[in-house]
Amino acid sequence: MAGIGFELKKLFHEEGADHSLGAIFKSMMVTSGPWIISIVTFTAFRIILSPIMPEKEFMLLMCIIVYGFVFSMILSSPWITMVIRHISDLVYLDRNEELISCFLAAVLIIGIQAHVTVLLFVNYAPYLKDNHGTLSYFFTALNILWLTMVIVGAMKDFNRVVVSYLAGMLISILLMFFYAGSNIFLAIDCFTAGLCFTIFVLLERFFKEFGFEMKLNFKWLFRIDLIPLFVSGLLANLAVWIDKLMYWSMSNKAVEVAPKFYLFPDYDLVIFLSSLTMIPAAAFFTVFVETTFSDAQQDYLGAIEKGADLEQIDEHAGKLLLAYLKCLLNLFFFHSTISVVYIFVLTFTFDFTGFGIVAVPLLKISILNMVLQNMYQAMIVFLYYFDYQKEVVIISAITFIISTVATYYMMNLPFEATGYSFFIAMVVGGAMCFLTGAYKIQRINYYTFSNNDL
Amino acid sequence: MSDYIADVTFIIEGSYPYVSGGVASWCHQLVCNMPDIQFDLVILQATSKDPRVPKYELPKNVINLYHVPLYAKLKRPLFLYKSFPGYNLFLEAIDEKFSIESLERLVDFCITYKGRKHIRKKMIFSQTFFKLMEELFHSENLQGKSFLTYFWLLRSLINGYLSVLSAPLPKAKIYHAVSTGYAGLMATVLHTANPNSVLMLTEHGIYTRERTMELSIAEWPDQDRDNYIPEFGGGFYKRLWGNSFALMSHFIYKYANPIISLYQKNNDLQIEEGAEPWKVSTIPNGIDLSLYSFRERKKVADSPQIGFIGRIVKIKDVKCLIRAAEIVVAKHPTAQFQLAGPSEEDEDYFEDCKELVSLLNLQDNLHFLGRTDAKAFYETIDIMVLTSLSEGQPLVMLEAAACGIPIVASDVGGCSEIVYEKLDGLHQCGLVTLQKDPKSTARALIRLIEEPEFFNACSKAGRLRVETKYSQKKLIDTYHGLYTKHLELYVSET
Repeated sequence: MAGIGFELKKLFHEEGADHSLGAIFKSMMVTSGPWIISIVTFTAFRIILSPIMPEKEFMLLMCIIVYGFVFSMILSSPWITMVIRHISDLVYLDRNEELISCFLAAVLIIGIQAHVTVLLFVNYAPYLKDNHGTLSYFFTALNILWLTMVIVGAMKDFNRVVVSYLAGMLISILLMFFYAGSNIFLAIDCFTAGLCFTIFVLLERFFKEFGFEMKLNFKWLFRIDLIPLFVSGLLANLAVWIDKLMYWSMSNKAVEVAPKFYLFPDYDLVIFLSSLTMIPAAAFFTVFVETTFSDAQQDYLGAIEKGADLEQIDEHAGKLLLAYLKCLLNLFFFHSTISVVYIFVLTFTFDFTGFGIVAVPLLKISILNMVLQNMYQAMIVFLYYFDYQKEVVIISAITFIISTVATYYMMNLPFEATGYSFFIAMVVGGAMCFLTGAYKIQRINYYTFSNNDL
Repeated sequence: MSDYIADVTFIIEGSYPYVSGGVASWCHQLVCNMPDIQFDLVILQATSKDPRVPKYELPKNVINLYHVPLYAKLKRPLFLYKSFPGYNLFLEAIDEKFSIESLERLVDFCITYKGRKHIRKKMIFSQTFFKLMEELFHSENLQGKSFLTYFWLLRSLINGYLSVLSAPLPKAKIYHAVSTGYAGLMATVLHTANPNSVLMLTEHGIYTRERTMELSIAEWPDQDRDNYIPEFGGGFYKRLWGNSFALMSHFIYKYANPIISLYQKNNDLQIEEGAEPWKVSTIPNGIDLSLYSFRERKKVADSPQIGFIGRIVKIKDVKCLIRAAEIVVAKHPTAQFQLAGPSEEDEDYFEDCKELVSLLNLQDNLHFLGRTDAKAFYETIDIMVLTSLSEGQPLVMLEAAACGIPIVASDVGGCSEIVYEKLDGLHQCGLVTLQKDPKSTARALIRLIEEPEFFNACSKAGRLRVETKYSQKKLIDTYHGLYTKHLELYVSET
């Protein structure tokens, strides 16, 4: 993430609030670009298509998009976690000439996995077989978009990143407006086209910056030390999504909105609304990590490299611990503040309009869950920063198990209990992350020096 | 196989059978000429990736080879350890500033500890070990110095000990260490694990002194990352390592009997380093005279051929020889210096030597021949020269003397004994010069070139000296007698 850190620091160090706002906006685009694309595009779809598309077909469209997003995140995350680490190592070792070939190999693997996944799904839902190609391209584009976000952080031309996202969105909406009509799969093709445009523009810039070469480098696949990252990437995402997946597939509250597609509409809508608070919070976290925390970490490691004595090293370690705690505290307060304001705004809106689209208690617990999820994911990022991969595997495995077990026992309880299984998992997972992080950072000298092969 | 006990186990560091040289040749002589004795070899190497291609054909009575890498790669464990076994003993050792007694207790613990194979890993990666290092850093008053350098140096130092303490413990009746240092430490550990065994030590050079000399000319480890900072008038790190080697020597001196060296001067040094006088004795090197045909040399050839056999490394001070060559060539332009020996060990130094030859314009007079057949080489040279900074009892000197080649050697190790010792009124077989003194070397060479009578007397005396004191038969008979005596004692005691 060298590019974004450098760019953000530049923006923050220039005078004026507009530059800081610019930094946060850019950070939001980098960290949550696909989310923003999907929300805006999906809202546009709803506005444009729902008057002309039969309700059942619109629900199928919505399911395809939602399932596409969720499963693309889960299935691509293990590979992406590995690739991020490998690419970071290459940048550190000044072997930039290998970046493209590694990235292309990851594209191939993720692409094949996406196609195979869709093949398996259409076997499960045979009525979709005729449109298997459309679904395949859509799902593959989503997966590759997540992968492309990895390299976006390394690029310096942020204006281009923003323009590519916005242009992609616009293309999707315009194409859908003019060509899709009431055909679901044409609508998906339009969405895919917009995604592909975004991917193309981003990759074109990436290839230009680092030099394109049609070569595939699979070395990162055989790095045994990256296996914990693969496992933790999968488990961390599963821990976040398993309760929703279980509600869809096993709960008596699930509704078959389209053949073989199950949703829990009340909960899903609440999740959607509460996830909007993640966008500014994730951006805030990225800015803080890439500036204050990153500086403190560089200072700490730099002091060791330059031959500091123990006292000086301890001083820098103290500053690093402070930056870590400050980041978590600020993130918690920032996200909590946004969430509280958001709840007030929403409940006021519902009361004012009389249009209560969601149960407010469920909304409150979901928004709280988002805060906890954000804290959990932030602390996972810190553990990755310090290379505590094994710990992340264990924590995410435990969190996943707790979420699974709690959801299993609570999913058929009354509606009011919805969301609490995830709450329990996030509290336990978050506590484990915090305690692990605090324990490790207090002993950071030991882990930094001794955590090396001899 | 579990009941097998070797008669004699050699414990060797960085030598036989993978590195050729004087010590390796000595080991090979003994194993080849005692077919009735079963030998095992415990070979200490730097890493497990060090070459294991024998430079000598091992005879059938060498049964087992055990390899102990001192700095084998150690992968960090899945989870770092809180503490390590023997922690209290290690604390005691620090308090006692690593006395011999504290080392004895650590050795006793390690040889009986069930999971001894993992001691190294558990200690190196433990929190308590790191904490101890932090405390030691403070107690040594190293403010302002790089903790990173300190950490890695101390870790490397401890790692060497731990590698020995966690190594396999093959059984033997006699453990024969071929040096002190890590080999001596290993031998003592083996002897402690097998109390009925005998521990012998033969030192070719005085390990502690050789290491101290190497440390004194090394730029690292007292060099900070960017600037060389001399500390404490000799260097904290150099003292640390020097004291460590001294500890290893004292440890084996305490337990070994006999303690043998190749010449009297080294016996004196061993006693100075802490060996008890009643234990020390001398058994010089020996060569197989039948392999070296004597040719009396009346005078040097018109184009004097001056030979050197040895590794092109710093300890041989080849640069001194090159500078001496410059002086000799100035007076005798036809003089040719032939330097035979491998140069791979220190390629940087070899490049420096070649550069010096070029700078002094000696390309036509000084030649690096690489590895050469020694016997054929002796036929071609008039004088053998050595300018080493440290030697034991160089076999090349004995071989050259046996061939009737006068010797010019620096006054190190047993060289002056070989050249000057009063043996039945025999003439000296060459000249001994000052160390690091090209002029002294050049003067000696010029004298041999310009005084044919003196040259001839040295040539004749060389063979006789070797026959009197440095024959292989004498060497083998002496050691065989020692081994047999101790093997008989072993049988009677068990």
